[in-house]
Order: sequence, then C-alpha cells, then structure tokens
Amino acid sequence: MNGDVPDLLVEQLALGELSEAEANAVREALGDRLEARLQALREDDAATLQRHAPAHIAAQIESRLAPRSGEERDTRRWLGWVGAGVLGAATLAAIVLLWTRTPDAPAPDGERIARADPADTVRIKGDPRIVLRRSRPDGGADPLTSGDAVSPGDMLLVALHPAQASHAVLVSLDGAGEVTLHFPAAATDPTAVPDGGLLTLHGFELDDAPRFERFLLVTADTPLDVQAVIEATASLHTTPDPAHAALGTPQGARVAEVLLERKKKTEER
Amino acid sequence: MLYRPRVAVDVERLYRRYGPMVLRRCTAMLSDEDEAMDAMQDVFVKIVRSEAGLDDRGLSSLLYRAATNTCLNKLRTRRRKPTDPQGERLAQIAQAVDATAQSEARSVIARLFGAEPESTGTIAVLHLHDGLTLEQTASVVGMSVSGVRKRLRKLQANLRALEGTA
Repeated sequence: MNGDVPDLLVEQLALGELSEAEANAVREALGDRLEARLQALREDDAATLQRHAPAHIAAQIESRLAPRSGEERDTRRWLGWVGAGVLGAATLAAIVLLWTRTPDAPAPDGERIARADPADTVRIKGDPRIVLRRSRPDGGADPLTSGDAVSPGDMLLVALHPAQASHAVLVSLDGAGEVTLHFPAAATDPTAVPDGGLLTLHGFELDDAPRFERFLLVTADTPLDVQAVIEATASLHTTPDPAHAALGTPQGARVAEVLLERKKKTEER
Repeated sequence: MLYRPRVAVDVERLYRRYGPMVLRRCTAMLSDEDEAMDAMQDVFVKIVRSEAGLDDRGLSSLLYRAATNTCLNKLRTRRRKPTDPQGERLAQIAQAVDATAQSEARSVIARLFGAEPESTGTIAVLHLHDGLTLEQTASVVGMSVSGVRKRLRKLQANLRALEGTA
C-alpha cells in the first residue's frame, strides 16, 4: 500500500474506472498528494510501454495462447534469418572482426577480437544477460539456461537484460548454421536499448535444425554494427565447434550467451 | 520463426491500457522483475483465454485480482524467503491459504467471472496487505462484506496457527 489510499483505487482513478463518488473520495483522501501519485503512474506507464513494447508483449502473450499442434498456424519467418549460403566467402574466417559503428573513425583493420568471457554466461546481477523461457501448453513458461534441451516446435520467449550497457545486439545460431536476429528487429535498426530493465522481444518457435541453438548477446556502450554481428555469428558455423567457438567482439564490447541443446522430437505432445 | 496465432481479443490494446498496472502489481508482490514479467503475461493469457469477446474497458478490478492470485501462487511455491516485512506478510498469506483454498485456485477465471467464489488469498492480500476496507474488498471481489469477513476469519486462524508453529 502506498499512503492511506490503496494502490488499486489510485490505479482505477487514473484509468477512469471509478464511479464519481469513489473518485471523489479518493481525491479527497489524497488531497495535495493526488497529482504526484497520478504523475508517478503516468511516468511508470510510459517507461513500461517503452521498455516492454506493446507489439512484442502482445506477440509473447499470443504465443502462449498458441495451440501446440494440429491447428492452423499463421506463421511467418522472423526478421533477420540469414542463410549460411548467403554469406558465401564472407564466412571463410573462423573468427571475424566486429566493428562498432563509428562512421567518422572506422575501426582499424586487424584489431584483435576478444574471446567471449565464460563468466558472461553466468547470470550475475548487473551483467547483461539473455532471458529465455519456454512456454507451456497451460500458458505458463519455464526458464531455460545453458545446457537445457529443446525440441522442434518449442516456443521460446526471448528477452534481454542490458544492465548498464546502452547498446545491444541479440542473435542466435542454430546447428544448421542459420542466424536469427532477435534485437534489434532489423539489421538497419539502431542498437540503443532502454535504460536498465528487462527488454522483452518476441516469441520464437524452434524449427527442426539439428544439435543446438546458441543465443549470443553482444553489448557495448557505443552503437554496434548489427550486420557485422550477424556475419560474425554465421561464420561460427564454419568452425570445427560452432556451438562453442568464440565470437569476436570489438574492444569494449561484451558477449553473454546461452547454449541450448537440440533434441529430436520423438513423440507428439 | 515468429508464430502469431489468431486471437479474438486485441491483446496489444489490452496490454497498452492495463499492462503497466498489472506489471506494477506483480513487481510489488514478487520483488523480481523477471518473475513479475512472467506473471503479468500469465495474467493476460488467463484473461484472454477466459473470454474471447472481452471488452477492454473496466477490467482493472479483474486484472488486479488475477494478478494478485497469480503472484500468490508463485509466492506459495517460492523457495527463497522474503527479505522485507511486506514480502514476509505476503508469504505468510500465501502459505496460510490452506489446501481447501488451493483447490479453489484451480480456475481463477471461472472464479473471477463469478462462477466460483473469490480466492481467500486474494481477499486477504487486498484487505490485509493493500489496506482496502472490508467494504472496498467486497466491492472489488464481488462478494458481500459478511462473506469477505468469513473468509478472512478462516485465513487469520491459519495465519495464527502458522505463527504458532514458526
């Protein structure tokens, strides 16, 4: 409770869902504090809708409502699928360089890319992290962490926590070498993320790609080149161990990752 | 691959109007942003599943109650202990909702739409934690004041019993 007027009543006043008599009673009880309470709600509303965009949240909720099988599905491919073949010769290197987007001062050729720090894969409060959940048929969702097994048809709910970082790119690489861009929505979109909190993205249905699904979150304090991240991620597929090969990042950038194991679907849900 | 089934309710509009309120409620009860986001989505899933023709006006009570009940269920199964007095109070309420009340929780939406009585835990949180009067609580949950009082008596007896065994 906040003060002597329950939060619900203030919420309902802000939404215009109290009767006139109830609204007047709340206004009278709050007196001079009324405007501050309402303003705080307005500001929090705006912050929430910015951080958890309505279109993305609606997609996540609708994905939880989805029938698991046997019903018509309105499916479409998510932005950012990049076939390994498209990358062609660009993927020859086992590790390629990623550059931050610095139009006035391009990054120097040959800059060493830092290996993804294994510590980044551990969820530590304050560090950027990937948040994955697998939706259940009953509408709930279970958290997923590295090493968890997933199957074709699983609906993953994807979010990222940028912590202190101001820019982020989230991609995933599957065992077939395909890269999916999860954030930003398109390679040409800015990589800036809202301050601090969880950024929800979308529901993501796994196809039948083999072996693994590896999510990689690159964060930095300066804008990132999304296309370079995509290409670098795709290039991992050409390495002997794409599930574990290091993703290069420019200096100052960090990588957090979650590696899910793919298992074949042996039975219908 | 993004998968967006057809849903009769305009979920995006519903979330835009009520999402922040539901998330505030869940965050206040769970004190964990990730859990709160998960709970908020649970609430909307339950609401949307309950009635394809929902009018997205006047749903604040319904969503607030659904959020309260959803968070109580999460608190009940949580292993870690709360670190603040309000969280401790909520945890006590969650635990005090006995097996009978837990069985009431099997269909939150049916209950919220009046087919079943309101969860005792939700009533307790609204009154004991949020500070709604008995009359306000009764109004929010659509019950009589005497009905609310009766439920609370039962729960408070459980609370006392729990405190006695602590």
